[in-house]
Amino acid sequence: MRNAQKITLLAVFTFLATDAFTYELDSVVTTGTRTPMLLKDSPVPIDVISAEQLSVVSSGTLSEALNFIPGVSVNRSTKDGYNVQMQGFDGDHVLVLLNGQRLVSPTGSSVDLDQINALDVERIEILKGAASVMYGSSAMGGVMNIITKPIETNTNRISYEVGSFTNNAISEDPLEHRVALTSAMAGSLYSGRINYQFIDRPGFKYDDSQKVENGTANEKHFLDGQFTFHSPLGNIQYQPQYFKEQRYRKENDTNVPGQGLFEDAYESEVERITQSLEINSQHNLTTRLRVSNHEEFSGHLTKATRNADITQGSAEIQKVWMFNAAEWVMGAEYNNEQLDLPADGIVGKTRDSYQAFSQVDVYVTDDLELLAGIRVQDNQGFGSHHASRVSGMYRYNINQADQLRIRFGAGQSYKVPSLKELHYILDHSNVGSGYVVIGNEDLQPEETLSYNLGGVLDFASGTQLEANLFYSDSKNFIENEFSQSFTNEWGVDAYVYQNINTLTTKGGDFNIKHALNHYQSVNLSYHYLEARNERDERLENRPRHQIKLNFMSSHYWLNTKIITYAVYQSDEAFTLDDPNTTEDEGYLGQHNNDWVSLNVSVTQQPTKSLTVRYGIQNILDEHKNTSVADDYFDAREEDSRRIYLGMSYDF
Amino acid sequence: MKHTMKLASVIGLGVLLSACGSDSDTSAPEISKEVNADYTTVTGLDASSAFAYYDLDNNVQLNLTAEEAKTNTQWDIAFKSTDIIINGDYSGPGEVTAAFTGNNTDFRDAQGEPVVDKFTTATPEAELADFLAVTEYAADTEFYGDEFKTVFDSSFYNYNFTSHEVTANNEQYYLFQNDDGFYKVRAFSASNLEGGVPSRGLTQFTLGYQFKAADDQTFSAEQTLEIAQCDTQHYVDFSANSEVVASDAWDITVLCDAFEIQLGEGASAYALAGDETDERVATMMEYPQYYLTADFANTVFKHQFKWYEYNLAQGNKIWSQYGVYLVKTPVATYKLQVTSYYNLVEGVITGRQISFIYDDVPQTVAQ
Repeated sequence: MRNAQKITLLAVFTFLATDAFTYELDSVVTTGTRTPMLLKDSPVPIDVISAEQLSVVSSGTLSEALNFIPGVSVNRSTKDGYNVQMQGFDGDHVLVLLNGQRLVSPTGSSVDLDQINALDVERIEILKGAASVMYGSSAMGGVMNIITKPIETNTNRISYEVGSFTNNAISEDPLEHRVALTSAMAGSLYSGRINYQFIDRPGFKYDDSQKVENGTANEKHFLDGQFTFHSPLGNIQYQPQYFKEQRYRKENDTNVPGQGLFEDAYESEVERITQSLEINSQHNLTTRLRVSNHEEFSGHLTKATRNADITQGSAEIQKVWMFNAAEWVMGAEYNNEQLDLPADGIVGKTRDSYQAFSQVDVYVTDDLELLAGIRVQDNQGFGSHHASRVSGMYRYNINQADQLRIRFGAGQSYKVPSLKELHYILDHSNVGSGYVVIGNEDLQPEETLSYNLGGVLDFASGTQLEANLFYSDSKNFIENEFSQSFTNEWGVDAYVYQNINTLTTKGGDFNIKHALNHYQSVNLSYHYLEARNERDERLENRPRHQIKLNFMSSHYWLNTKIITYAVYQSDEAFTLDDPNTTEDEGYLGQHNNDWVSLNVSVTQQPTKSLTVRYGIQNILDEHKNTSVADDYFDAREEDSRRIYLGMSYDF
Repeated sequence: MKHTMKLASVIGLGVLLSACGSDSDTSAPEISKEVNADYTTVTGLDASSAFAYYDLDNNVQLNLTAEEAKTNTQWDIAFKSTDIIINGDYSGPGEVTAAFTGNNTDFRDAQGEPVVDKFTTATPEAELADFLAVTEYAADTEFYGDEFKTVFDSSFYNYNFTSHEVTANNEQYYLFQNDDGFYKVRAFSASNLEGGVPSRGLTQFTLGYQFKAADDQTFSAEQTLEIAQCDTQHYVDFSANSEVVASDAWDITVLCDAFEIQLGEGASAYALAGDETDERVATMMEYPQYYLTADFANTVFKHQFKWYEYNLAQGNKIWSQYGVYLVKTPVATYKLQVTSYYNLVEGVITGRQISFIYDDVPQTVAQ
């Protein structure tokens, strides 16, 4: 498709895309190429969660929002919260962006989706697979780009939601509460929006007579602003964001040998302030500036808490040139990060990196589109590193209405060592017989070479068949490994971060979307994954099979929208205990390695101003059996059935 | 209970306190000491980074460096992490020995494996009875010192008790690790014959070894290195496949007269059992820290009669067996029980903060 046609159609489809359950092909996406493009024209496969889908399934944060996307696994843990896994790569290797700019990830690891505000999100674009050429470090398993809503009308909205973990609720604190306020004002010269959200969610536990809680209680405050100045030279958008969170989870009393039992709990506190400025000038020139500070402390009551102070600053400039049959994007980035982890020997560590990227999107013929890009990064420490990638799409019109699109790609991706991996000193010489984990300033970036091939068959009837295959080979993966020489030096077992591991992933997504009628659609997907390390062992925490079934419907009665979805996961690898040794290498056996989660979410709009939402998450109350999970492998999360009822009023 | 000892302890403490402000080899440790009618309690002895040396006779911690401790006879017992050493034999010049009274045998099963519940439910209060029950020790109690033990020990050779001839135990392999990678080592041949007559030392010795670098999948073919004239001490460098001198970097040293093989600095090794599978050897190479060791002090408290168990209820904790030990110094003999590896400072648990109780105990008087 030629460029002029493309731009015209963009406007048309943007208008059509306002219906939540309108086919996603009509959505505009930016993540694949860093330029606006129709989803079906993107040479890179993208999944989209629309604003209205999000408003149905989410309860304030993004933690629940991604579960129905094919091929995405959402993991949760007490320490790391919720993070996603894509194509065999864990949350550390999936990049999370807000309006195209990377979010701060604590100490270089994964971003917690439960710390991302879901209010006023226009859509979430999910790019599965490598994307370092466009987005730099960490985009190995995929990219999740959260796009906030533009301010188009004067609106005020107040929302309240109450929820319960039903049979797992804690008797002394059984209900959760969520309050949200949004106020937006749109003008021809200025527009602005402020939203505030408060979430008070108690923990849950499977046995109310026990002290230990299985779900972590948390209290969150989000205060986000978005102010746009429509100047003659272009739009200037300023986004300040404040986030504060406290988490608390009671644990069983700690038995300190020789000292007795002591009350214990895990607690953490996070405070984050982010300010970003985006200037969209004429001639497709975009400038972005961002400063973010993230402070947290965490730990157990009976142990010394760990404090982290992370500051990241970035400046980015991007220029797009549009030609008749091509688009050329070029840009440069400067990033600075500072990390203080005083308990782990990191004080005032800082790093600068300079990056430049270029990507060309060419229509070789009307049916064949090729995308080629390169990124060069220069970092303090390891020096320069580069990655390049080629992708493409071929369209074949079967007849006037049905179309086959083949997408393919091959290229490199990378993740630079985090400041923590470079400078860490975890001194656990006081724990048990003692050990230390030591950073390594000679670390090199982790590297991946990946390939993808897929096809989408679109029928005029509203049915879509999609299949994608992926394969990746990664090397230099960073892991801490025992070091005899450091052990001799430190006098206790010493583990040093080293570029030692390799990872091979392969698998595929198979997806059928079918519109039953204008109001109902069904989506069935199957995801297969094989992820192995350098010893040809399967990686743990990665289900081999995943099936997702979504049913979406809308009705005139009370303007009802319903999303019902089921997630099935099975066959995770785990380590069995070797009966020939006295060491505790793993589990004695398997308790559960395949499970189903059922969820239903409903919104209704009895009047133009009033919206009611309710639903049940994890209807079957599938969760880990904690009474046996220490000895027998249980793939399920520590989760709970949850019901909620909320309403919002626009005025 | 000898009241004279209590008095000596108090006087010792008084001397210590009066010495404050002047140069002294004793520190003002952040420990708490409590002397009651039946025993002395020492709490919070910091054994986290270096050995904490303790003088039981004077109930005082000594501020010594490891170098100073080598020539100091005042300290009796020292603590560092889970290591407990006594000042005698390999560990020091002080002629201190120790014995284990054998209490709490039910903390371990017939195979010597820990019985988890026994360890994790034991408390200092409940185990005090075992300590108080030791009121004397028999004259024929066997006391031991901390001895030096090599990984190769005496397993690399066979000794014929009839002919007094020594030959190589060439079926015994050792997994050896240095900076280059892993080696499988064995005594290829050995002899103590000198002119056809058994002598009191090795006269000929040949090492066999196979190498596997980090990137290799398998071990190389076996190489041999012969020490044709085995006398006094010889040093071997595997990578050079030759003998070297003591000032060079060497992997092992053969002490011909002592029938002993010692490991070089930074090297570690493990004596493989005859039935180790390739998979198990691969596991050892993957987790060498759990199998391979340097030559070590075979201490009374850690190796001969182990005082603790590790990580029984997860959490990487150290659980005392509450064993009652006898520690014999040139001045007196004490019973001693380690009660905790932990302390609480402002509500936060700190590890390697040793607490123990001790008291002097008399030898049984012959009737």
